[in-house]
Amino acid sequence: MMKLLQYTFSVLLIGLSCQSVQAHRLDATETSIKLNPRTQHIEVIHKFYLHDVNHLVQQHFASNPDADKANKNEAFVEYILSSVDLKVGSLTQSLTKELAFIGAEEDGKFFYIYQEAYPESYDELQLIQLDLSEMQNSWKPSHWLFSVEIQPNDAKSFVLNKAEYKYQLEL
Amino acid sequence: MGQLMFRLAFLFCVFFSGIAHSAIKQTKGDFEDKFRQLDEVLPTPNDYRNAAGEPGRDYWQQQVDYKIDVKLDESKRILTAKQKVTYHNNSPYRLKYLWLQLEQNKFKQDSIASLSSDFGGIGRRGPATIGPTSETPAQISFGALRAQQWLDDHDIGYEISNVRDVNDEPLDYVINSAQMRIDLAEPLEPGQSVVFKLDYKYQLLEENAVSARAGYEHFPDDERKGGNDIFLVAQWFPRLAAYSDYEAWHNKEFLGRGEFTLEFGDYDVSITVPADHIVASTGVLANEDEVLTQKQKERLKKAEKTKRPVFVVTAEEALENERSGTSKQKTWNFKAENVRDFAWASSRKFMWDAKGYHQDSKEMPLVMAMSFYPKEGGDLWKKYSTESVIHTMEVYERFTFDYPYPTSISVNGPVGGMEYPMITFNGPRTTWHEDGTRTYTQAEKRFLIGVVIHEVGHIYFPMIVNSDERQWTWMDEGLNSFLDGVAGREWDPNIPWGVEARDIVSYMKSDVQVPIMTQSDSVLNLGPNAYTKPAVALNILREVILGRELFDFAFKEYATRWKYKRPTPSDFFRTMEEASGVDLDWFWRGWFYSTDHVDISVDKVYKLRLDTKNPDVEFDLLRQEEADKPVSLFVERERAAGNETWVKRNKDVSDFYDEHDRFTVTNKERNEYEQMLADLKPWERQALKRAIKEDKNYYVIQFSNIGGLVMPILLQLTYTNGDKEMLHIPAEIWRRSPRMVNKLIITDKELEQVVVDPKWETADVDTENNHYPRRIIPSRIEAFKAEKSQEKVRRDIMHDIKTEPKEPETKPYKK
Repeated sequence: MMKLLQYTFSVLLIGLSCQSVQAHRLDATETSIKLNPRTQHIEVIHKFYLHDVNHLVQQHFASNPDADKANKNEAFVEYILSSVDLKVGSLTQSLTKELAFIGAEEDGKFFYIYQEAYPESYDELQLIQLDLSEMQNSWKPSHWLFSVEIQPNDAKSFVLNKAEYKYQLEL
Repeated sequence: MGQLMFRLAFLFCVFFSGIAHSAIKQTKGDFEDKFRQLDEVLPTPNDYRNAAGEPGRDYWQQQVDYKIDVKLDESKRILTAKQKVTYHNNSPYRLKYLWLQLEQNKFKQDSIASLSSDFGGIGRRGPATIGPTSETPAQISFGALRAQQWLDDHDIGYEISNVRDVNDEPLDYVINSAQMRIDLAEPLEPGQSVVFKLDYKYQLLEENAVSARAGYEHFPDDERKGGNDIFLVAQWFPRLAAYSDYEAWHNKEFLGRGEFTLEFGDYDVSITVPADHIVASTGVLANEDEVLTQKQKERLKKAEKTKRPVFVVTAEEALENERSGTSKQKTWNFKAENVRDFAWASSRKFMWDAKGYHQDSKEMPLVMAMSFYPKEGGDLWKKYSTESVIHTMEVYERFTFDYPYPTSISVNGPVGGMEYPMITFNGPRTTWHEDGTRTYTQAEKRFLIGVVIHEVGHIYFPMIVNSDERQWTWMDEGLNSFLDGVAGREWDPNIPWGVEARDIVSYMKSDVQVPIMTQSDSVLNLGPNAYTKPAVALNILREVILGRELFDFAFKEYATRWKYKRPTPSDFFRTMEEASGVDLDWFWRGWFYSTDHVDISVDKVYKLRLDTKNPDVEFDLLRQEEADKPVSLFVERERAAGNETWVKRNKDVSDFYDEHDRFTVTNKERNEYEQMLADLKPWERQALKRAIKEDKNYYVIQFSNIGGLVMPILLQLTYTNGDKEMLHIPAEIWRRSPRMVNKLIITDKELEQVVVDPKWETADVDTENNHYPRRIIPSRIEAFKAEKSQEKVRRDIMHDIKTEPKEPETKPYKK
């Protein structure tokens, strides 16, 4: 008799809002992770549609009436910084390269958030780990494209759709 | 990289089996013909659709007319209908059976869509689910759970009965998932028509629960006991599947992503709803005396000639309406001619505004633009919905044809954006605040204007230019996104719906993509693939490759050729090429049939010098060249040390060669030169003489194509005197050498710099290699840091704040 592997039925409830058919809402984000050959810094640039940011900021203030409205996009930046867990590191050692926050700005129809990491050698550029689990109970773009270019002319990319939260990429 | 190449190769195998199995193969070397003509990929032209991409001399399409009596049971949210269909067989073939699409059955548990749903899979529509991994269990969202429970609690799908022929004799039929085959009593001969009838009913879907493209939305907080609903009714009747010259019956079942394609026909639909409902619908209201008040009719008449929309049902009247209720019923009768589908909406919550749009058209001089929306739409809708409808028609008619229907409607409901003939569903709303006011953000305003333009644009593509959405999403979404980008930018250039080349760069560089020419249900990332990339491609075709004059003529030719007809991708490709008079096979092959991206690099610039052969000139130049070489380190250090050479120390010992260097010209060389001139043919001598006289600069610029997609090289030349010049090198330069090419530039001026695509018009993914000499282009972060370094935000306030207050030092001052 075939032995069946027994798994505990473990269906977690996650509170993603159910979006109706909004084929024409943008709801897409791009993140580029590149090694700047001049500075030897890892530069991480998150590019959001301002349209999406405005929607979320509006919802945030609707549900947090006491929030400080002076810096309305800060709430969004804080949300992204606290929920996007992106690490760069080596295959054998722990992933210690946390990202430093550089700044954020609006430009045209986009909203950018900038981060950097400061690797000391190529040994620290072997692996990228991404964990967006913190976003399970709130907004996450339906289509999130990550472009990674650490070695010159060796671009890699992956997409996390709305139900995908973790990704690991060997460089 | 190896992995990437493997994946691309794999995709080519899957999607281009026609190419892969081509009898013509390159089996020596690695030459790839980027300009290979598409004839062997496109279907063979015939008398139904010809080689020019237009309907052929024997073009035909079926016609299906419907007469439907439908009743809405508001409390149970059930539709019950009786339908009479007249099917006109215009094909040259005999039909023994008819296929119908039953899209409501898509939501049944035994449909292909339900059974084939990949839990947590890529590109699913509807609420989120997450597949299990080795580390985490599967996860399901509240939304997905709600959808599952809603579907469990309701009896979904069609209940079909009484399928009979014109003599009331029962007809045999088979229902297979979301399709139905009716077997005709007698085969339907070419040119003949057949009538059949059927009854059906089905449970309307709660749109917010199941993420359909239509359904009802409940408003529990309205004052009326039990609240109110908005009903958006679409894909609501068993619809005849398309039957075409190129695919016969279109039996691709509805899986949720690939939308619809139907036959044109005339509709006579009677809709019975609660008497206090307002109904918006495809078609023209044929019994307004029975359903509208005198005041409403007068307002509608007034709306025909007005600067701004006129309310047929005001906000106050709608609010009063939604507070009450009635047990009475009214039947609204709508008639529509030559439409490929029929949709409607009904609610007692609707206010209704209208404005006549007058166009210079014999076919339809007056179009009534109208909007229907609840108080939740509020001022946003009052100001911008109907105006956006009219703006769309004004822009689109320049690129296509006059809007041919009598009405164009925008309805607010639970659907974010969806299109049908003459009627569109659009989702943006205002936000309610505790003080009872309603406001909206700038983002919501842009969303409303953008989505109305987009959905009304769909009335042209694909509701009139009837492409097959189920097969090719890009044919309507791509063309429409291109045009809504034009209309959006004409409304306000800041509106975020533009389709600039830079918007698609990251996606085109990524490896999670499929060619545009991919069936709708198989596309991995529908937004960038079927909307943005084709829209950007057309934008580039218009602005960079063909120019507006050639492009606009060809695009309009496509639209008018296929108005009320059924085009395929090849008809679009062929028409654009044939009407513009430009070979575009390379463009379709690169942008639509491949996943290549644009990355053209300028690698080197060589400066050439004309060899005059004249020893008096050339020897002197060689002497100068030698003198210009850097001095050797040995010599430099000897000089620095003050060491004199033997020659200098012994000047009394010298000879002929101390006076004549090795570049000294003798008559031996001069005689050889004169003899060479004498041996030249007259035209050779003339050419050399002129070249010497003109004394131009010769530059050879070397380019490599890293991305693979061949494109024109837009070259900016900057000269040392400050002059700038643009050179448009056609894509054909790559035809025999798709990876590396050289271009000769002959000029009077000295070249200082060359830049490829300086205005970012071609979607080039790497702009750093577009400069020669290479220029350091700061990354966004570097530019941001440089800009921000002057700002107060850069102060170390955490440190500075600890500074103790200090009295200023004062100096005694005397006058």
